[in-house]
Amino acid sequence: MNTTNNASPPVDPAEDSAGLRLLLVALAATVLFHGGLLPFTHGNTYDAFIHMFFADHYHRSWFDTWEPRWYTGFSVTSYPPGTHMAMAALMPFMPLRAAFVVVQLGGLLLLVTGIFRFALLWVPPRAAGYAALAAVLASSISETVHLFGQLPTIFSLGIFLNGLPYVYRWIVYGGWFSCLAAVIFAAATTAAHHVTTIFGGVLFILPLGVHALRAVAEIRPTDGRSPLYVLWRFGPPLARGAMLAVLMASAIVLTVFPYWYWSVSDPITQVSIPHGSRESFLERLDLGVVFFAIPWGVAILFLPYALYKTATTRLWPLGLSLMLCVLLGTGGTTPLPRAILRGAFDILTLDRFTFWATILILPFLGLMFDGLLHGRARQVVVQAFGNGTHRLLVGGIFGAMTAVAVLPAILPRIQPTQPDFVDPAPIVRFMAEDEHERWRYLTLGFGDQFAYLSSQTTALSVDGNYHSARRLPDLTRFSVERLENAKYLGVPGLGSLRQFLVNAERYNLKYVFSNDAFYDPLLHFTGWTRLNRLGNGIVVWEKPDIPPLPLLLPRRDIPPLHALMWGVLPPLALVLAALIFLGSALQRTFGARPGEFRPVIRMEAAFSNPARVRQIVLGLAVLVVVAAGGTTWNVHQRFLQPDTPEQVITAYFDDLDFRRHEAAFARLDPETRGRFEDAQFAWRWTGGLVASFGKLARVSIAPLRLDGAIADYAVALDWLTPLDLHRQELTVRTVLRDGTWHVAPTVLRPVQTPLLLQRQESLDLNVVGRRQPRPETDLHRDRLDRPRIAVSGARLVRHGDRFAVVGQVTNADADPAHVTVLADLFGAGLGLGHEAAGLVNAHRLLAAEAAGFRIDFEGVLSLQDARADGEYDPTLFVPPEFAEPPQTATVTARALVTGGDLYRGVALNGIRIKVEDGALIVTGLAVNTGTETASIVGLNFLLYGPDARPLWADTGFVETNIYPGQSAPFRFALPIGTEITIIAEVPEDAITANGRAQEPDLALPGAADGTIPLDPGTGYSHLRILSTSMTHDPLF
Amino acid sequence: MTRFSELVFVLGALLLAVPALAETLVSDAFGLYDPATSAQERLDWAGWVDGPSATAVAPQGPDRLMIFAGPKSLVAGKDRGHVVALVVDRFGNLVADGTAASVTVSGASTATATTGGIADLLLQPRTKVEDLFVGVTAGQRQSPQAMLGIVADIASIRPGLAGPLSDVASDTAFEVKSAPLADQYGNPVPQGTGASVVLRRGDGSYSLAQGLALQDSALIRFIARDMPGPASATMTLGAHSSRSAPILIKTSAPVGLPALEMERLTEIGALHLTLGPFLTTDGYALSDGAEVTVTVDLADGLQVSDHAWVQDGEISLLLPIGDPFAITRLSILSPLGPMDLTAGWQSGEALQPTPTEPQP
Repeated sequence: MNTTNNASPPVDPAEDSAGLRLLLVALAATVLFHGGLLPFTHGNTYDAFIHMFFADHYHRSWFDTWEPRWYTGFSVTSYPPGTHMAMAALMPFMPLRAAFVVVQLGGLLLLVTGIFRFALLWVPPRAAGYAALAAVLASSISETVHLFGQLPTIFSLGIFLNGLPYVYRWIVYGGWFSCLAAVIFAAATTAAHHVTTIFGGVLFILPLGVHALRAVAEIRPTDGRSPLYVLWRFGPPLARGAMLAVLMASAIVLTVFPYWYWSVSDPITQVSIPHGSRESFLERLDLGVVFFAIPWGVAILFLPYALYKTATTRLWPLGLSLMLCVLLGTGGTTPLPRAILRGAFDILTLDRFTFWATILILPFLGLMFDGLLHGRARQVVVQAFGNGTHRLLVGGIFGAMTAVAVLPAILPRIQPTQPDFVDPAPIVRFMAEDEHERWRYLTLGFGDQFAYLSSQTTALSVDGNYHSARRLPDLTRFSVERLENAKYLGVPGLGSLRQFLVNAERYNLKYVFSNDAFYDPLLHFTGWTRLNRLGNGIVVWEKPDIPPLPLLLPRRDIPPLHALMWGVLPPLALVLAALIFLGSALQRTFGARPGEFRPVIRMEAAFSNPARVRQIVLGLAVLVVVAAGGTTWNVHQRFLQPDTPEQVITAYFDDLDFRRHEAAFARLDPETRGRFEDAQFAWRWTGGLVASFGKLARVSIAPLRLDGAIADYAVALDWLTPLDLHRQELTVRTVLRDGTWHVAPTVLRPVQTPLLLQRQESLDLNVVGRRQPRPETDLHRDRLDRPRIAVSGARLVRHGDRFAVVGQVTNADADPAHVTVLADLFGAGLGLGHEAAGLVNAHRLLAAEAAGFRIDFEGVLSLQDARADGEYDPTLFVPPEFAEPPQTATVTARALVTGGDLYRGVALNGIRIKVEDGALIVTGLAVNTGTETASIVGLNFLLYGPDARPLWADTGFVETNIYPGQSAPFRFALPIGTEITIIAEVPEDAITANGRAQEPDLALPGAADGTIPLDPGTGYSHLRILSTSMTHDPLF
Repeated sequence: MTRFSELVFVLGALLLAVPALAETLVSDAFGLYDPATSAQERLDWAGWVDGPSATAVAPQGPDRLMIFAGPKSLVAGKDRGHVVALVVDRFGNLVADGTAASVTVSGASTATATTGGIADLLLQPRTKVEDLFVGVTAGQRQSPQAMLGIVADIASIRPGLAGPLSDVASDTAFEVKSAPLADQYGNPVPQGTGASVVLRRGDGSYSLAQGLALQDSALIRFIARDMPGPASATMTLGAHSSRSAPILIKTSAPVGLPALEMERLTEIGALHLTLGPFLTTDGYALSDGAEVTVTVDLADGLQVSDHAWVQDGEISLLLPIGDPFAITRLSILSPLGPMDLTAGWQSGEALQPTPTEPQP
């Protein structure tokens, strides 16, 4: 290591003054730049609303550590409260969002000041001033503030960096005030965010400690004294350092002791949540942009400079820490971060290391800008290229830094990361009216605005936006951060959401506020009823027959002393740190004594050969131009190569999936594709489960025949829909014209609606319910009887690894019924599970109608299972692990009179049933004979065994929507009867309907009534099909 | 000068004394009350015992009636209903046993007396479907109105089809209607009762539709698409099914063979084939959306098959056949039945060579 420049610099008041002036400019720029953007950007960030929710909690009750509004309740001691309490303290004077902006801006000012003071320890004051200016334009800080909304990160780092001068001073010079201040700042940092203190101790304080020891060595030179003295002079500083470490660790523990207590007593046992920062940025370029390119911004270009200075100056401890952070911040791009962090790799969000790296590099940048504007670098550039080039260079760097810093603020406008703003007021009013707060609610498609809605209401939700606090097994067993955005998490996300929607009773979940019509089919076919659309465009769904919340909800209290500590110590630490900071800010150079710090010394010697510099730079420029040209040529050549038929097919369906109709049309055979308007008509005409609600998950292509310029392929399209993974099997023809493969256009079946004007009688129902002009919300005179329903032929069966209770439910009443069916599973002596019927249940039955139901019992994924395979497989079915073999079951059914969603206008024509490849294949044509558009058609299948009792039940959904008079083919595969094992019959006395023994009004339909007889070779005797439909159109 | 320690004692005394002064309320089983202001009112409460005199206070006359009537839906001829009224005096006390009351059901009153503050009437099963409006009178007070409904006994409804079913033309809408449905007491089927019809065809396929009862009949709608030929229809309501009735979904008869045109696409080694119009005896071409399968046998033994849907009476297909003269057989299958077009093809009438293609 070259350590030639190790002498202390002479004290220069002018330099100090220049540094302070630059700091003031930086602070003013912070207010103008970030302060100007914050009111407009914080609403589009990921985390801002979460912190506001916590702030709202402390505003409502400062000392109560239990928050019941998320996850059926969680402890707020799961997150350090400093910033949240700061906002809460401002809330009596300003609205919540304004409080957030004020605290965030305060954190930014603290951070810029802290960077200046931290840089002062390493570089001369003017360079430290430039470091502060660079911080204002640091894209990492801009991204953290304007894209991520991470208030505690900014605030805590600001406090932490302001405390580092006291650490240095205590180690080098001692002084109890420095020690006390360092400990208070550590406590205040922890109050805001404990991770900053912990990792900051390694990444910032350790290099600083080495730096301090070097300063000690310079202050106390050996001067030919004994070798013992060489070591002895480090004794007191090391002892002070050790003592400070102990005190700081104690402060970290004590300040947020209830947090540590919570961590230990209620450890997080959940499947780790994937985070983009752990991916390979080369494979996922989009993540690389967000987690590496943007935070680094222009600063990455100066990493070689930092490396050079690390190798040649006293900045080497800082440089080593920087390099470590750079490496860890690359996530899964290289195997090194995983090797270094081991198990912690899957827990930590690694973009944090990139953020710290961009802070650690700032002293280097300050030094570089100082040299470029005032020092040797400036001379070299001017001498070699002239003043104009120098100005161009400096202006270019400034312009580039500004542009990249602005990018995170405008990125949500370019690529929206959140849905449009949803006014929470109508939802808040809805939950407050008519005692709706007696039940829980769930939002869908709100993004992070869900947290803001939560902060505006006292109503409770089963969901939440702080995944570390989740404790419900249905949430923690999947790697799903929250239910709210389930569709973005594929099968596990929708699976987890379905668990909640089906078993809503378990969570007293009665209302869903949907901002995304994607979830409509799932809600409809799991028995939810669409109520109305609120003034803000949000659709309210209700699940009938859900019991209200008990008056007293369970809560986990912490000892009173802990609650007192939580409410007092963090704000106290912040106040004390603020007082010390204000005291030091009133002093020149923040109270630092002249010559106290030992920054790096500028190299003053002039460059000997500017011409050589010019040659080298120009040579490098030529090399770069040649390399860039070569790369561009290669890329161009690659794009010129014609796509294979498989690539064309994949791109074609991808275009259709994203509704890029012009691009899809361009891939069609130009000779036979006709007009664009005609092709687009066919695409727009087709809606329904796949076209309107599906997301193309996978395209599988297998060649069928290649005959010269015509190639046929069997194409399987796997669509992720809200209801299932839907497979579409097609034969696609491609033709080669002019060296390019095209897809032969497919034709829409041109069915004609038989009647131009349909006149049909229909039945409209109105269930008055609670809609009475009286204040009472539960008037017994309004109540209709529960329809008499009957469950027949229920039995416990096994199909493969799956246990299920199947049976027939009949509406044996004169009123239409909304039906809920539940089952309990029992072993020899233990209750093994309780589940409700979800998709395999008709839910709404007309009088005298019957349908099949199936209640599946699935296992819970254990953490060991999840980790054993390295990665969690979202499509994995988890066989249930029961304490003892299931032996029997009980069934409970309930019904309420319903007046909606009873469309029966879809007939099934030409139903054919055959056994094919070991499955029972049911095909036919669904025809809409009614007057409403059937957006999604669901077919409920009930298969009777040879003994004429139910053996299996299933549900299938027709692929497309069906307009009146139109039709759509369907094809479903069901298991054959011999695959089903009967475990036990559910006896009559184990079936409860409406809370008592069954009293049907009519004889229950048997296997032969209104069914289709099946060939005995299928393993079944009869098939009952009930066709139900969701009739409201999606808005897209 | 006052010492601070003295202030502590004064403060303590105040803290203890103020609550003592404030305790003017007295609690009993009915809650807190102020003896100075509300003791007299409490003397009117039933069950009040006035100290040593031990005078029991009786409840006053009926003041408020709360009515409970159920079940709300009574099955004709089966279910009994129960009308119950809770009668209380102005203080909320249950009225004395034996207080006269009357229960009115659809205008007919029945006298009764309260027991334990309750006046009630058990309704015997009724056979006529109607809405019953009930109320209870006691003293000079009446209860709010309550409602009960007598519904048809759907268990006794036997569905039957309304006469023979007419023949149906292809791709037209038709209905299968039941005869008037009534229970054993002659009550019409409740509107909205579900029913279904299964059409069984000779080829082993089925068609199925659900519908519901409107007015006094069940109505199930079909569109005759992809289900040609004779079938038998059965209607089911609950556990009862009608007798099967025959129905014919008529198929059109062809008028001659469809015209065949081919265009040889040498660039991609394919044939563009156009077939049609498919003329029928109905007087109009085969319906849009009818499926036509074209099968071509080639000289090398290979067979190429593809299908298309009729639009404006024609179909259009792109077949991967490079050499049209290798075709040995060309047949089609449509709702009009199978057709062999080989003869027309071999006569060479159909081939329309592209201008750039030299004649063989």
